[in-house]
Amino acid sequence: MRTEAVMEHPTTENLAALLYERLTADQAEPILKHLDECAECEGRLEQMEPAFGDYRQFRETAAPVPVAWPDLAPRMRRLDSERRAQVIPIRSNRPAWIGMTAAAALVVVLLLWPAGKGSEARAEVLLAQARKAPRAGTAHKRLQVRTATRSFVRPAITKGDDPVRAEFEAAHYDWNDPLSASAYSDWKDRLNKPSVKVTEEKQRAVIDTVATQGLLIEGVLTIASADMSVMSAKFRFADEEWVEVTAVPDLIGEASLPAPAIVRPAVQADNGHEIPLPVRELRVWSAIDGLNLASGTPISVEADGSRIVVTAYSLNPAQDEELRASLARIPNVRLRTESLTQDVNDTRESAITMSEAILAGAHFLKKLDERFSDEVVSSFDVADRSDLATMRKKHAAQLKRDVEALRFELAKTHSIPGSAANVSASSEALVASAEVVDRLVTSLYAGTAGSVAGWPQLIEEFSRLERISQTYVRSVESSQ
Amino acid sequence: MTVIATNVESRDEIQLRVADLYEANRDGVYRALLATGLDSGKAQEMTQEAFLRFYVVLRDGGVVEHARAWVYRVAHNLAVDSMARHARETGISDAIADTLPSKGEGAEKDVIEKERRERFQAALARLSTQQRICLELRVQGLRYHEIADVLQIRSSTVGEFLRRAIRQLRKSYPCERKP
Repeated sequence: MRTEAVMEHPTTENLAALLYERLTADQAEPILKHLDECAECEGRLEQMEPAFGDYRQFRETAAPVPVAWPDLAPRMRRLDSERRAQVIPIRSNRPAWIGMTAAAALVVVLLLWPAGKGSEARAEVLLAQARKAPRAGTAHKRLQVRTATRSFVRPAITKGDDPVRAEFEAAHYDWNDPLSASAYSDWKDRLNKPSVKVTEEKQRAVIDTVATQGLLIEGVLTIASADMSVMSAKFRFADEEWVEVTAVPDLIGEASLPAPAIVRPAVQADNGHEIPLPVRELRVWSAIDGLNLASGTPISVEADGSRIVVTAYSLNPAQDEELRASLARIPNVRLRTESLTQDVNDTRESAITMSEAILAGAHFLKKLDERFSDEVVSSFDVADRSDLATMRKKHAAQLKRDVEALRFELAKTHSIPGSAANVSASSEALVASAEVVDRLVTSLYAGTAGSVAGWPQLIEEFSRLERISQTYVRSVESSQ
Repeated sequence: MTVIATNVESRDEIQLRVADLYEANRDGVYRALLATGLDSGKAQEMTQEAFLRFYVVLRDGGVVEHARAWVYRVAHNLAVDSMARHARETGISDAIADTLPSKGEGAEKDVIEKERRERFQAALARLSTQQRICLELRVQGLRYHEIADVLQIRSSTVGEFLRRAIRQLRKSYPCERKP
């Protein structure tokens, strides 16, 4: 229960100063806190603000409420009769043995039925397989969570708070690790006579469980047939809220293009010259790079035959326009944009975000190394080579800054040894070390369940990452 | 947690309770739905739908601790879903525009008042949907935390939306009314 604020009511002068934004943040804070608890002062403040009164008056005359509202009673009664029609009581005067025989026959039928024919049974099999499937790398992955009103990104496994946690906890669904078959099974197993439907396609299986009661009334889990990993989940609640959870698409640098090939399908450019896929891909990355997005901003680049599909999230209108203009110059590229608002206040400054940025940067550098091998680059012209080198240097420098930022964050609470020793470094080693650091940071800062990670381990691995990154960055800086 | 399982009221009692809540809050819910951008017909339809859903939850054994906030939230969710399904429909500003007095209504005072209303309307149209909803709900008397509950956002965000909305509306005032 909320209690009235103990602070004295602010003076009219103070309220006016607040209203017209003449107070500093420190001065305004106690008054705002008071206002949130004190209806009287809230009313006083709003009486002083003409816009409230004007809006009130305006809507009264300009947008009147309906004169007559229909009575709800007949519709409520209709809902009741519809419900009764659905629930037909099973009353039978048949001898008990008939029912027993029928039940026995049913058991026999079920036992003889080939596996996979019954949805409930098939769901159990699929969930068991999904539970056993390796979930390597999950700890450092992130999830995109969407509801009707918001969208945010969180670590895949966390005990951290977020806007929908309470709803899932109330529904007894494990929100610490929502995209796991175990969480789904635990919820499903607790339901009383749920309706289960399984739809299987070539690449995925979808389990749709509808509950007859409770707060969470439907859960739809999509499992990838190839590796039985959970791809996404969608939940519907009794109060019409819905929540959709998917693994965050590739971060910058985690492009899921097919393995590099020297001989590639080519397309006809407007000027009549064929532009090979690697060159177009490089230009796509250059265009994205030119937007100067924050590290870790999700953008995926995928190949669809000879076409490149770019999916960008949360670009502002200027970035969107700029990217479209840049991509328009590259043949056979499609841009899709989607909204994805990250909860900046929660995560931007955190060590988790920093380590994610490092990991994203490391992945990107590794991807550049993989995609644009010496052999591939040898086919580039001078301008394309220069673009590639510039992009590589820019991201190496950013990685260096991100590592320094994380060092600064860690050093607030722990002593970090210097990193003078040289190591032999590759982008592969960089990614491997960044993954370990990110897992440890996530585990320690977000309080992952069952974590045994400790600070000494993080400090040690971070020092190693620092050495690798310094060596790697030096090698990039000294390259042509 | 908003809903917990229990079963203490008869169906008639529940219907009366819902009818009372409906009578007291339907205009407010309707206006909040207008603020989301629904047209008046759709807003009226969804207002009733939200109360009917409230009835179904109670009838099936649920208890809603904050009934008014629950209905507002469900109505808001229905509106958001509807908006996602269909193209944006007539917003409150358009609804308001429909009711503005027609041109050529004589007296100079009317002209000045009309201009003022038009400026205010234009400023209102520039508000984001969230800002408009916050303003509408606040004018209806919902506290910051109640608005936050309806929109599933933080109280501080509600405050920010309101501040921005007010700043925008102030711009519509002639110089002498500005602080």
